[in-house]
Amino acid sequence: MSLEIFAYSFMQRAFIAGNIIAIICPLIGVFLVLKRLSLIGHTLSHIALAGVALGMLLGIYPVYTALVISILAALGIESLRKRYNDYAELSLAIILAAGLGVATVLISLAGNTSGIFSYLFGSISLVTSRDIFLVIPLGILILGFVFFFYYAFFLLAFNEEEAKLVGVPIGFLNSSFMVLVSITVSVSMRIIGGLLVSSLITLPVATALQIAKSFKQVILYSLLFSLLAVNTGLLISFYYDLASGGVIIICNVIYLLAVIIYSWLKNYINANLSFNH
Amino acid sequence: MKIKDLCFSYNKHTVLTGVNLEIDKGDFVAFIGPNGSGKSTLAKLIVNILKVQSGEIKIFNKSVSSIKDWTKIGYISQKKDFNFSFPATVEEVVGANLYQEMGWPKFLTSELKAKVSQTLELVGISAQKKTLLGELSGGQQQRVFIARALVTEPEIIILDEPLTGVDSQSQLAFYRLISRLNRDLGITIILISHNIEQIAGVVNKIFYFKDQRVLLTKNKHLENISYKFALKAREGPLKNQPQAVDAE
Repeated sequence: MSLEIFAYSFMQRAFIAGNIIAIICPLIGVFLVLKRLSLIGHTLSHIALAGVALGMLLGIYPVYTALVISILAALGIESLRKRYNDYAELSLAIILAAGLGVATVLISLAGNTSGIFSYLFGSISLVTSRDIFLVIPLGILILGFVFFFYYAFFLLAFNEEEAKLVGVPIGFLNSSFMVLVSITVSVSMRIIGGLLVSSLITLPVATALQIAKSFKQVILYSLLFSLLAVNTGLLISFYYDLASGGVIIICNVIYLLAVIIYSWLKNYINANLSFNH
Repeated sequence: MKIKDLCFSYNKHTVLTGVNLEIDKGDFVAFIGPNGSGKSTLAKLIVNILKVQSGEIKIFNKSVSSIKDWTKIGYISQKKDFNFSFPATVEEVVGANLYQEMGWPKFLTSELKAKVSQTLELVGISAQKKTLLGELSGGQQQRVFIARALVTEPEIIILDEPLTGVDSQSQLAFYRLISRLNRDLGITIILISHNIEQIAGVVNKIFYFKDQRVLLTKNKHLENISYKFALKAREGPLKNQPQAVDAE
């Protein structure tokens, strides 16, 4: 395979943005999955779509409006989650419905919304320099936050009540975390698409959970599978002219299946060997 | 620890009314009573997870609402509050509780790692240091949770129904371990349980929860039924001798 792909500046931008979101999505995803809130990404992406439509309607760069609207919604989810403490997913259903409703109305109001398709399914050719300048600092912000509060997020995911007792500022961190999720969703929409972003948040984590032997390994394997899926996905979508988001997700699913089969075979062989002995 | 005229309700459902009790340093105390009698509620009020509505709870002579540093109080909530398939090793789960002692950024230094190792050794689970929580037996998981509470060097440990799903051999080992923590390290233990037979022989105070009230009890009947178990679980005399009958 030739390296001509990197001669195109739009592909260089796609790879830079793609690799950054390949790092931040599963990093946030690990904590979301373990807090049993993996559907949050899906909910916020629908809200972000309403933000995209609003931007198109007002003539503002849609990623900016998606960012603002999804951050507001994330904080709304957090306060609803406290209200429906025993039904955490109910707050998600409420916000998802509201987001999709608003998005549909705004899209019909905006008239010329041909660009919305790329926000729904992702498009590598449309990543602009403006996207790069947005995704780099936000990516660093998320990385820094998770690095500094690694154990705090660990404790929050493990048991929120006990986390409070060992001095974790749970109110501040829960709200900040929700803001980070909305940033992740909004900046990932260009590459992966609003409808598919939650898959990049959850699938690499699901794959890592199959084989990880510690929490650190869950994070490292999630990053590994996510980076692999994004890079192979971008290459395939370039050479076969396919929607990048879809190809990346299919790659993720293939890695997940491969790992499931690997673990199954390993257990099967181990069980048979020990039986024979 | 002093609790005075404490009342608590969930919405309109009153759980505790006019609760007065005192727990001294070095006590080994049991909260017993039927489901829904307010045992866990009181534990959560003590550690300020639930807010006191009326009355007062004082620990180390401070009202619980004004306590900032909770590391001196280890609290182990009910098993149903935990995800036992959480993908973390014993070392990670115990080490995370040293959050307040971590520097900036918050990571485990070699000094803190040594502290984790010592604690794991104390509860007899150092061989499983690198094992995932989900791969341990019920009894081993119980030890991990005690280690989590113990690693911050607390003066009080509160355990909410710690023996659910633990086999009888491990239950005995559990009582031996916490009796040792109480006797040798002087840690005040508050144990919430259903099992009067086991508890009565190892504790020096029993608070019985019924009809929104809490009664201090310790009578011959309880002592007799628990005598055999106590002999097995107790490796030496309790720090504080059982109190005389004192029910309201």
